[in-house]
Amino acid sequence: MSAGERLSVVVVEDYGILREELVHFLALNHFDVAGVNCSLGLDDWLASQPRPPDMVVLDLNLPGESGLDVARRLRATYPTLGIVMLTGRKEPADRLSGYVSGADVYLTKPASGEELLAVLASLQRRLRPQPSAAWQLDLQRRTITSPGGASSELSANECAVLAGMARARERIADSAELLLLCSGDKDTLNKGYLGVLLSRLRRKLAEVSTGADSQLIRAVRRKGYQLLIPIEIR
Amino acid sequence: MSSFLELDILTFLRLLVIGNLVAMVMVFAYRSPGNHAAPIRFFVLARLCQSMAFLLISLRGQIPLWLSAHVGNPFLLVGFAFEILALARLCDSQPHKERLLMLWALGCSALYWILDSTPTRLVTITSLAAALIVGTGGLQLLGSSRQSMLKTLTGSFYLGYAPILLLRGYLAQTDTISVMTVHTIQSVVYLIQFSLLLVGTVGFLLLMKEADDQLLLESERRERQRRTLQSNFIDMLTHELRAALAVVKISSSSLKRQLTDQPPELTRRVENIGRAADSMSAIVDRCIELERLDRGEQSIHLSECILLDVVTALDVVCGPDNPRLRIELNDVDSVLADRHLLEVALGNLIDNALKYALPGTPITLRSDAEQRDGKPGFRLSVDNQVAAGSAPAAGQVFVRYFRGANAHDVSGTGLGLYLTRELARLQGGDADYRCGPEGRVSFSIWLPAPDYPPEAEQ
Repeated sequence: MSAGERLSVVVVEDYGILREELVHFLALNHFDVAGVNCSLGLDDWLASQPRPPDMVVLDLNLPGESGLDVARRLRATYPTLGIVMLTGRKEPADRLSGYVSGADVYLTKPASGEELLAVLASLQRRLRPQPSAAWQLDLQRRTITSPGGASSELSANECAVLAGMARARERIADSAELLLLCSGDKDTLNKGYLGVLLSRLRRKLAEVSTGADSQLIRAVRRKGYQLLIPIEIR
Repeated sequence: MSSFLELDILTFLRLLVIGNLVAMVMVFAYRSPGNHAAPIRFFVLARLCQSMAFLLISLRGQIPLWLSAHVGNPFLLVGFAFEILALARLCDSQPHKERLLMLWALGCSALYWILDSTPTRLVTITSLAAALIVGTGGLQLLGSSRQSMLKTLTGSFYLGYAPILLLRGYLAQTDTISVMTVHTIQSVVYLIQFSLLLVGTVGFLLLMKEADDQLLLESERRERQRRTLQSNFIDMLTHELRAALAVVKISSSSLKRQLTDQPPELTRRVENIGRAADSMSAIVDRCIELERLDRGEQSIHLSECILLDVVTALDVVCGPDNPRLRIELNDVDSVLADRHLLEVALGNLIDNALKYALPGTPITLRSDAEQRDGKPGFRLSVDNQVAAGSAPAAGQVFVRYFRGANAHDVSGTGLGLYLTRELARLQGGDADYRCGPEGRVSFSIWLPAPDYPPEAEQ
């Protein structure tokens, strides 16, 4: 599946009017949507399609095989499928059963259309992550990649300090806190060391930067350092 | 052995008089919670008749024979008949059998007058008639539809007395033993008669108790059945209502999406449809909570709940009316509560404030540390302003189904505050209402702090 394709959703709901309304509403919101009334209908639909759907909106009280059993079967067969349970059962135990059976999200009726859309959008982010325009910090490989795609290798402490700033509120991190993230001889871990480390980090970031960002890290008086670019950590 | 059983008949007769009177008083004093008015009446009459009979018989020789024998013996037979009727009533007897028994007793009583009876013939008539009556009673108890050990034992006593009476009637003719003759068989008859007085009275009381217990069990079974049916009905109803409401909500979302270019008045109508569906959904939820409370099946799982976390996660706080809410809670105040029940209780309070506060006026949420009965806890208050003079009286607000005078243009059930208080109490806390000057009202929930587990119903 490519990012530009419409997401396909199957609504499994035995109540005809609700199924019709859900299908209509999702179609209005640019989903490729089909509606079936039971597990047999879903099996027929799956057999007739070249590929499985991206998401299923599943009622629990279905004729024949219950929604929970359907969810278990779907989760086992299609591990990446998004399963949204939409049911009238509100008990905490029912929610638990829903999640244990494989639901990604458990919604209770009457959920609004807007809530359902928000849930599907959230699942979409997982299923089809959009290509990011932000800097990428890979903690495993210890690399930083610019939006332009250029990468640079980082040391363990550079990685930890960059991640510490990226995680901090307003991306401003205290010098002492940043030093705590560094490993090495305690005697050498001082403000001078941090200054050298950040200077090296600035240079590495500048090397891979597209040039649009003139200043990437700045010192903040009496606070520490601020990362001026948003970074996604992987 | 022979001398042991040759007892003083007069003493026995007096004992029987006293015993019957005492039994009569004891049974009369018994206030059965069940529907046993008729058996008690019959039993009291039985004991009264028998005590009269034994009194008259014991006065043989001191009063005219016709009074002692021709009145005393019929009293005895009628007394036996009433006793059997009383027991039979406890075993769901059929009325036509009762009438036959009483006719038999009265018919035999007439024989005393019709036949110019000799003393031994009097004994024979009395013995045969009484044998039939007690035998019938024994069979009745043994053949009862709802058999029990108690009925079997009591019935066996009655039935076992019948052959002894028959023997007594036979010996009266062959050995000419009259009622006052000191003889083994006569002593045995009176001994059994005295035992029967005890067995009959205790058995009658216990059978009443047994019948009451059975009624209670039956009533409990029916109540359980009724509750199950009601529960199933509520489940079905709420499931169907939620499905129907989901249609309304999704349809209104579709319409809202399709009416983006339409005038705001039109989209407002669609939004109102959504709001009405939300109100109906809230009513359904409250009915379910109420039903669960009424059934006593509300489970609670107490844990430490930070009030600020609970409040900020509420749907009503995240909703469009959020700007009216002033949340003055600090992030450390916590209570020991069931998170879900606390959410329901607080949601109801805030929802109530949003409904009835003067439009545009703020609603303040704050918590204060407060000790109750020596236990530390927190009182979470929801304060708001209502129209002057429209604040409800303190004694009414938590009453089930109560709705204020100014509540008629707002959707509601009168259950929200009631539920809030009941749920708070279930968690070992309570709910309060305070009414200040110029329409300032404050609803609050007090719950114990986490270090002090409440005596909540688990």
